[in-house]
Amino acid sequence: MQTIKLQSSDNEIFECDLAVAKCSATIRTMLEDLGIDENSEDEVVPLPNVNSAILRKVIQFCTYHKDDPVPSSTDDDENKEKRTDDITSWDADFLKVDQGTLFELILAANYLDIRSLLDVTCKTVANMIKGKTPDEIRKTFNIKNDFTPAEEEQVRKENTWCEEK
Amino acid sequence: MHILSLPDCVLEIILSYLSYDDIAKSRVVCRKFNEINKQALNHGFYKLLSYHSKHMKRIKAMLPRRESERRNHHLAKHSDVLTCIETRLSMLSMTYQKHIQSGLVCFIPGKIIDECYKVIRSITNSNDEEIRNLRAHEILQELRDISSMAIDHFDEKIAVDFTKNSIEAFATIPLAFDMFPSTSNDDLCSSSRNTSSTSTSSSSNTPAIEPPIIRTVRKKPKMTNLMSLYKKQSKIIAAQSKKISKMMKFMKEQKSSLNTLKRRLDESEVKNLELSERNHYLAKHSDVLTCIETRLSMLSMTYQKHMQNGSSCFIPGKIIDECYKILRSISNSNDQQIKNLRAHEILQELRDISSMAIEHFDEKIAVDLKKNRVEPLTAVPSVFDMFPRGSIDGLFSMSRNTSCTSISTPTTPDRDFSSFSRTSRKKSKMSTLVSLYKKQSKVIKNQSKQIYKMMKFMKDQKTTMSSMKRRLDESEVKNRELSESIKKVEAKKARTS
Repeated sequence: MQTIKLQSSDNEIFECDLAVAKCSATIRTMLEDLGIDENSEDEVVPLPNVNSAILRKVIQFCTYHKDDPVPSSTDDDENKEKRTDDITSWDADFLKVDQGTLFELILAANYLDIRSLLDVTCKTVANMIKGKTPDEIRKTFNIKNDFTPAEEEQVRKENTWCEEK
Repeated sequence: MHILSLPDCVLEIILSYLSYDDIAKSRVVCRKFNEINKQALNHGFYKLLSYHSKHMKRIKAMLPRRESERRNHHLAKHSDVLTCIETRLSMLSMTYQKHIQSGLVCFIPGKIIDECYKVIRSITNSNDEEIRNLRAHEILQELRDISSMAIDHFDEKIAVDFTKNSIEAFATIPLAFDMFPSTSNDDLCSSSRNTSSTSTSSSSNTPAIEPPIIRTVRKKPKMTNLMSLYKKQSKIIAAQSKKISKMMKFMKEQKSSLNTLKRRLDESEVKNLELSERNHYLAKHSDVLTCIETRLSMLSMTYQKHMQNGSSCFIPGKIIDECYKILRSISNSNDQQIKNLRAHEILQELRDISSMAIEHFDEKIAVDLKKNRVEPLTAVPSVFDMFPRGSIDGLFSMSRNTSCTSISTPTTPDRDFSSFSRTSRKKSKMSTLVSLYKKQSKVIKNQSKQIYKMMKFMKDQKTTMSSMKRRLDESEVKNRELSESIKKVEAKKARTS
């Protein structure tokens, strides 16, 4: 089985299957464009935007999902209802991490262009927002309310249209 | 690591998993959320518009041309629901779009986007049998309710603040024109005349090198001043043209929604007519006349202005025949016959052919006529194009050249003369510039007038639309009442029998 070496931002080197690494569209195109010889053992792909803790998690995720079929995105998909209640139990367990790690995973998935990881992490965050009041959202994500009273009043006023009398 | 430090594109992906209602409600969390969610709401609304119009086109292509045949088609209800959504969407865009485009507000009622998708999905996913049993009224109830609520709320609470601001902004446009009063045109001309005369006189003595340079330098700021004003004007014209074309588009949309509203009103009135037919035998004659009147007003809305322009005649002669036929048949029949008259049947053909004619005119004929009307408008910027930017530099280099030649030309009379001809050419350039300037000012004034008129017109249209909406609602309510009372009567009959 072919392997490839990935180097994290803190210079740790991870060796993983080529098939696993190719879950990332960024790495896939990098290999294709640069024509890095797949047989050369010493080639190391530097990933300066991902630290070792996150890269370890990403490789774990990709190893589990490497045989998943690639979803084809069509125009119709755009308008399909997007569900957030279809996260598998493995993924849910995998994402039982603190918020900082979750956001770093999102950033890594975005940078490495791993669609499935980006989807499931974003879904997880969306679930943390869903059905919460603005105050609860602020508490959940430790967000400071930086509106001036007048601005906040304006937004609230705009949203009163659907309040029942 | 904090959620707000995620890049915008990632936040957008996260939002795409939320309902638009959730997006709207979480705007108040913080400024960043507000910014991103506003964009997501606007984007969502435009996406819905394009999705709906695509879907509608697909369904319409599958329906027959005649309205009476359409009614029995298995997709009829599907298309009815879509038409109703279209009316609602066009009312919503009329309310929000111009404010969205000016950046004052986003598409506030996210819940409506969710509801529209819900309805469209439910009808596309149901099979023929389910659609046949579909109760369009029930499925659309929520959408009708919340869209009216949103529009009322916006008009009463939110837009009040904006209209004040926009009128102020509008009033500042003519001011830009006043910055350059007409008297200064003469000033400019006279100054150019002065300089040209001095340069010709000075060029006769060899040592007089300096004066022309100084004068041309002094003249240049005047030129640049004029140029910058000229550019400003062109910008105003371009902006106004854009505004006018936007308004035209908007008016076109309004017209089409007016048409659909009229058609629906007409249909609902016909239904009313039929229902009341069972209860009362009176006033049938006038009902038929009312229906014909509605049709005729729809037709005059479509054709009249083009007929007055002389760009088109009243094309569908068959409709005139049909109207006369109906009028004659009802005025010649006696009371008994009128009692037994089936308004629906007698009006069927008229309804069919008038709708066919109007649709055909709007889709095939009016498009060309409109193009012609838009052209004079787009011709406005070309007045400016007559004087391309390159030639502005040309003017400067020209003045530079003249000064050079006047410096280098010593006493020789030929050269002297040539320099004179150049300055006079320059003078004429100046005067063309001034005349162009005046033309532009006229254009701007006309455009402002046009915009003002259009605004008035649009306001009128809006009031008609709301009155029509009210009438439609009333008529629908009446419909329901009538059908209920009929049911009661029938139940009584069954019991007594």
